[in-house]
Amino acid sequence: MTTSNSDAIFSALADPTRRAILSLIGEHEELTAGEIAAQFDAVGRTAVSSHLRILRLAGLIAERREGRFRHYSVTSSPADAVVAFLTSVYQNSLDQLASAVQDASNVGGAASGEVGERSA
Amino acid sequence: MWAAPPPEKSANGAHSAGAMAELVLNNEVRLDACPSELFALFGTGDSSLGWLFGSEAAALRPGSLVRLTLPLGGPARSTGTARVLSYRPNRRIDLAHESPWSGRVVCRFEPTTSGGTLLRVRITIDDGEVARLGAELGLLSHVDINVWEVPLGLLTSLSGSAGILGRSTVNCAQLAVEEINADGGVMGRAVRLFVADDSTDPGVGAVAMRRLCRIPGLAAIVGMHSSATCAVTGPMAVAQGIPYLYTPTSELTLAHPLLVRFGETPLDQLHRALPRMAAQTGGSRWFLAGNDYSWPRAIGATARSVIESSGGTVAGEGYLPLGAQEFEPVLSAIDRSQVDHVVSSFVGQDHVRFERDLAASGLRKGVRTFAPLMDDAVVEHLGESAVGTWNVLGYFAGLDTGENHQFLERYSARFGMCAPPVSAAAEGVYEAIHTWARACCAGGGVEPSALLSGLRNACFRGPRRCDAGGSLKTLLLGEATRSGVRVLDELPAASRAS
Repeated sequence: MTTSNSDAIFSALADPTRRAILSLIGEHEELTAGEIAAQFDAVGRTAVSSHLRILRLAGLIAERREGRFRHYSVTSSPADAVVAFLTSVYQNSLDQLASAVQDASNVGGAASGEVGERSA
Repeated sequence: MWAAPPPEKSANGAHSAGAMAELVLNNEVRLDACPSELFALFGTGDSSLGWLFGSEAAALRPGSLVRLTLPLGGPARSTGTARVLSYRPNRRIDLAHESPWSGRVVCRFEPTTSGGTLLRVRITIDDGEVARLGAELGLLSHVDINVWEVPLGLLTSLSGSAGILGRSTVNCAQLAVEEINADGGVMGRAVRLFVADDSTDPGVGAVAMRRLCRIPGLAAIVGMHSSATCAVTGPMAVAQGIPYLYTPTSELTLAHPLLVRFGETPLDQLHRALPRMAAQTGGSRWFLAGNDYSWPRAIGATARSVIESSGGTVAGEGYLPLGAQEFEPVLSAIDRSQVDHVVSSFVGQDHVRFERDLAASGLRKGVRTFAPLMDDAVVEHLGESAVGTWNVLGYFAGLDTGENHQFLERYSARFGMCAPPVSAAAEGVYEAIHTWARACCAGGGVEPSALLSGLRNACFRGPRRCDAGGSLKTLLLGEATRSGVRVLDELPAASRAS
């Protein structure tokens, strides 16, 4: 699994509405965009379409066109998605640490000595 | 949301080692700081260091708490906890991740020839947790139930404001199930536990509830979450014909036989303790504060009636939404109203922030707090700022009885010395599951009619003082100290008070 793919899956899943949409699709073999939007009245049709696009680009759902209708189904296995999600959650934290340390050493003097009192 | 990662990415690998095994993730990063500099940064609470290193760890010793703020989308899901298992200065930190998911995180600091550090982070997550997390993320997997298994659901909060209570709750549920199964199960069938997270949010709770209800033959659901979630999930249980055992302290009167409540009522908690606190301080003025939903409002209404009927005065009230970050409006109202006492019904993480801010503002000196959700877990998070606060609950870990010592020994033996401490919320789930199993056996089956008829006579002798069916006879008055909650007295439940 590539890191950019993990990031796409993480971004897709780091939103409660998208998780709920994915869960709803998973309860059925396939659902049309209209059937999904009907369950998410408060979200609005345009927003649901954009959520579906993000889920599709992350490879979590597939889209099948039939006439005017678009049908959606879940493609990813839970284990694959969990691996991608967690990899991104932890790796992003380490990347953020790396840039903070980099910034500290750029302004002179590595980050240190700001630990205050603690009982180690 | 998280910051965009810098262009230089380190290698990372992941594999799932077989179907019934654990998930292992290996992440690493090269850093321009030596191991000792890096080690010193861990747990300082500086969020610019990323959520893992920027966590808050007041102490670094085995068993000590690490508070995390994870970038998981929406403030409700962002809090988590971990615990230090062991460490070697400048070499290694070994953590048990507790919430929103459980796992093991080992950070190794390896010096590089250029004077920097190769930081290797190995994350291990067990198979059952991967399945649960997959479902939480919206990816359902098919569940096969054997005929000799009884599926039992647990809906609780592993993230959001109440998430700090989640891991010990799941542990206590697991312990009860394992004890029941070791004792022959329910009617000869093994109980299998399914855990779902409501993220302290009724909407997420409804999605989680739908998922639990899809489990074939689900016998019952144990709910340990806010009454706001219960207002949504209770009717769903009734519609599905599934018994719902609601365990926390709550204001709800559940108007259906399938909805069974176990926890303390507001009157149970307040009717004796508030007059007693006023008698001790000699004061009569009260402020009522809390999150703005049905339970804190009910606590407020009950407190007002108890205070006014015992000659006291409510000088002010203030409520803030769940997940509140800014407590200044309520703190200044408390200051202006010149009260002697505060009844604080904030929930979980909000409670922790409120009490810390109250202590930091200096108001704590002249104001005593009664906090109806302040259990052992919250006291651990609060530390010094909880000291002197009172509460009444069915259980505190400091209860000095044989049943409780044995229960705590079994808990430590099962989950280790570094497990999250047991709280009233968690212990209530332990007792409810045992009571449920006894009721099924007494009623002759796991179907609702058998459970409900058996419940009238079901008696489980655990740490709590209960009647048949699990209703509380007496509660405990506790005071927060530097070393946890001290039990001051035993008080009758409101229904038994003369």
